[in-house]
Amino acid sequence: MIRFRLPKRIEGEMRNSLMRSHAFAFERVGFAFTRLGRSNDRGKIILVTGYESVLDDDYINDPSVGARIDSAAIRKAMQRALNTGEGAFHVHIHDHDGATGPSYTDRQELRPMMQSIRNASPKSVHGLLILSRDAAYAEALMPETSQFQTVKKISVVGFPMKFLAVEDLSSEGTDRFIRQSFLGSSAEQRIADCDVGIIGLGGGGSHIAQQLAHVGFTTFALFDNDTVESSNLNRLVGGTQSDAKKSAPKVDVAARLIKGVNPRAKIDKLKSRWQDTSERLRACDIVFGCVDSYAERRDIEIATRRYLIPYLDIGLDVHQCGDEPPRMAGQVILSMPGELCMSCLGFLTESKIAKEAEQYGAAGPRPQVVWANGVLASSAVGIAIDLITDWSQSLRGPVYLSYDSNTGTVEPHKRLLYLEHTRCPHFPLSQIGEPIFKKV
Amino acid sequence: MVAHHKCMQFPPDQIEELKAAFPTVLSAEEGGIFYFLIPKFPLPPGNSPSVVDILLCPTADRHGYPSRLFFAQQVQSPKPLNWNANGVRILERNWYAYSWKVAQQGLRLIQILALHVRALQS
Repeated sequence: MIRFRLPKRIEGEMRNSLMRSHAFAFERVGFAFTRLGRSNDRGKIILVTGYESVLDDDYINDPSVGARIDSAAIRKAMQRALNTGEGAFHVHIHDHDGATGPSYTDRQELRPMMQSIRNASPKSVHGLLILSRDAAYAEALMPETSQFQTVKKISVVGFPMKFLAVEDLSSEGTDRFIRQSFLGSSAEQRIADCDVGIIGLGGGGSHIAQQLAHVGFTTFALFDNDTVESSNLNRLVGGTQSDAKKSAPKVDVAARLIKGVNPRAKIDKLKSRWQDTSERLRACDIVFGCVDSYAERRDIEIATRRYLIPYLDIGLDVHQCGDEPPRMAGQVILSMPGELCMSCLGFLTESKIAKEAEQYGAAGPRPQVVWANGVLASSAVGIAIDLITDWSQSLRGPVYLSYDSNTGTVEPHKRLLYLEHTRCPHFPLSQIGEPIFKKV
Repeated sequence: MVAHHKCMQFPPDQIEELKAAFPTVLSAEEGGIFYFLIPKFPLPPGNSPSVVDILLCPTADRHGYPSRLFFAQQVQSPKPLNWNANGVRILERNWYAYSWKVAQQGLRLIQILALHVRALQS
């Protein structure tokens, strides 16, 4: 399967540029630049790093086609591909609603053009991207192939996410989701199309797995190398004494929960650390993280941003100061690639991580309780659904929720009022995809 | 010639010094942190394996150390070390590191590397 991921900022830039009028050309064109990533058996991931529109002077006046560009425009795209190792995709727009695809002229003229760019830069992926007003079509010329292959899934990564082209998965055709029909007419399909990863299937992750199954997710990657112990049973949704007795893998418990709700769910149970199965992680459209340490959160954020995957992090902590009652608090953060990261939001700091490395302390051995985990998990699932369906039409910027269990409140974190950055300086799009090592 | 982004936070002569000692050294950046990759780094006698890829993070790493040296695999050293980073994912590869603090202030790149490697000496 070939996936194509496009940051929302770049999609907006493309659309604005392509919809401008030109002195004589009927339509405008440009080039998207890409890096290629591998996933596991789910194939290749094409990641868009940038977009360059063709300059006004680089069009040829030819009334027989919508737009014809000259060799200077092609050479510029070829040069960038050569200089950076990126792939190039010819981009234009068909100004209508609904599904789109290549015209006869597109096939006859654009494919040979992209073949010639591929000849100059054969190790990268090149192709065509055709946008409509609300959908898209892409075909890719992979390094090792001679034929263009249709991209199965095109996603726009941002607030909200959009899936412009997806595999046609049949919906259940039942009234199972009738009580959530307010999410929109395409919500059931969008949710079912979404490949979701959960890292950590303990107190938080087990809640999330169960809720995602209920709401209609069908494809899961579950990452946890831990097994059930009796001390987990105070919060592990679906966990039983029998599981603890036989040290059942936590991913098995979560998979059992999911299958109980949807026997047709496709579940990859990864009884290992996510770091050891990261190729599967890359295939996910969205990832939930339910881990204990700040350092691991940062590692997950880096791994997900590298492949343009929104990351939803939840966490809970209990602190005790003197004779005061314990304070239980947590957070839900959506780390959106191309937007502010958890460092920009002030949640991950060098000092926090350094103190953690010194095992500077919270109260007791990782205190966790089922009701607080449930609040955080439910909040995170709600954000994911809004991100995918845009039902509330209000999710348009950073998400950092603060949970105070002592007062029973969840509200936007006060740090959102005092953000230092508007754009993330830590994860530039030039660093997505496979790492780039340079000679010094 | 030194011409790469945050590489420039280190004086060119220090980078040239590192390159002179390890001509195959490469650089990369991830999450705002800069790394040097030295393939097939020769370890001090008595360690197994004798060569291993290493990744030098000469500034505060993302796990709370002021600088850090990562190895492509755990090394069997003459004296036991506290390998507390096991399979940390950096630059799409799993890395291993022992707990060893080397503050980078006032040190040259090559000195930071040498002080980390000192832990492996008998």
